[in-house]
Amino acid sequence: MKKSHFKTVFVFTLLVATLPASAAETAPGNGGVPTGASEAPPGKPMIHIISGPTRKAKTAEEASAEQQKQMAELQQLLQAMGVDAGPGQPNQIVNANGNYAEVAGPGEGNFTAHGGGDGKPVQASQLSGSAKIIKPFQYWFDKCSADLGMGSCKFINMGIEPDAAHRARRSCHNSGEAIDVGPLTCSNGSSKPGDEQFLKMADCMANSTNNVLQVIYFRSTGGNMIQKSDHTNHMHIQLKNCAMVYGGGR
Amino acid sequence: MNFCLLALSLLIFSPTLFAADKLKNAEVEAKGIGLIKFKHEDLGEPIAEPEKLQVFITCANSKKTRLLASYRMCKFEDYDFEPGIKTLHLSLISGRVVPTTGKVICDRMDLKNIDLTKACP
Repeated sequence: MKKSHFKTVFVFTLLVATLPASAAETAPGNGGVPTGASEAPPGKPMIHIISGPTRKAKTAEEASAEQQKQMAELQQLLQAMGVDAGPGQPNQIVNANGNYAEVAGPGEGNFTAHGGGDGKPVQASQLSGSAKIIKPFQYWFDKCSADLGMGSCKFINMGIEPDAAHRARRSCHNSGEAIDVGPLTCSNGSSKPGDEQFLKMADCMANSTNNVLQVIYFRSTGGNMIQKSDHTNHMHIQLKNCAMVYGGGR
Repeated sequence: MNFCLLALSLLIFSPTLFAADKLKNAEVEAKGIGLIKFKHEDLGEPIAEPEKLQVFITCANSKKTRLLASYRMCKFEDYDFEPGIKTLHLSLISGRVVPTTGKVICDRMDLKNIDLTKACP
């Protein structure tokens, strides 16, 4: 068979194959109106539903009430799952005990260099656990905030102990002897990294703590305050004689 | 023969098998737009967000490089460029701190989408 003959046969076969399918699109005697998949059995009249039964439009009050009901149901569901998704904190996830607060995870395009994330402020006295930094930090943090006239202070805890995957570098965090402190919320005002008040607090924690503590911050006032440019969104407070260790730590 | 080549190339470029290889400071060709570059650093501090990722693009037409986005996170997990919609998808793991104990837990998947349609005007 020649190539042109083969082509003709192929096109013809294709046409024959598609004919029944296209014929089914319009029923006979229907004026060419597509009927979709439904076809009347022979001898019975075909029924077309032109439009569905109309529903009465909701009023604004009814729509609002329904939305509130749905929101209440959603809140109940979330509470049952142990997730608090209250208004005003859409990015914060706290468990049923209120223990966890998100610190990292900045929004689209944001860099938390001077922010500290949206962590939950905590009082020094609320710290618990066996980390060695906790007791001296509690004592000196409360003393410094009082001495500087800041009143009762809370702080964003940006971590004492790293996660398992980030213990490879030599650090006092690995031995539980360092804490990263973010923005402060005090009874006499708030302070965040970069502020003068935050610098005064860092200076006090470094140089007015009986030589017990050392601070790393992006600015320095000398003494026990070490300047490091990557500490812009928090002050790193550690025991001066801490064991800078690698790996698993305690 | 063609099938074998296809299977082989699928195996080689399978993102799930070789996800770890394309992390860190990779470069991705975004056809018709430019070259996407990642600058991935392990800064270590604060320990709640030890890693930093910056996404740059060098535009094919102007040859200029600009910063598209910057993130702090616990771990840069993965990325994928979808040419059809000119979108870069990033999978980042965010950290959270238990405020009362200071323990860092890195378990929150954060999916970011960067629209590149207007990245190189």
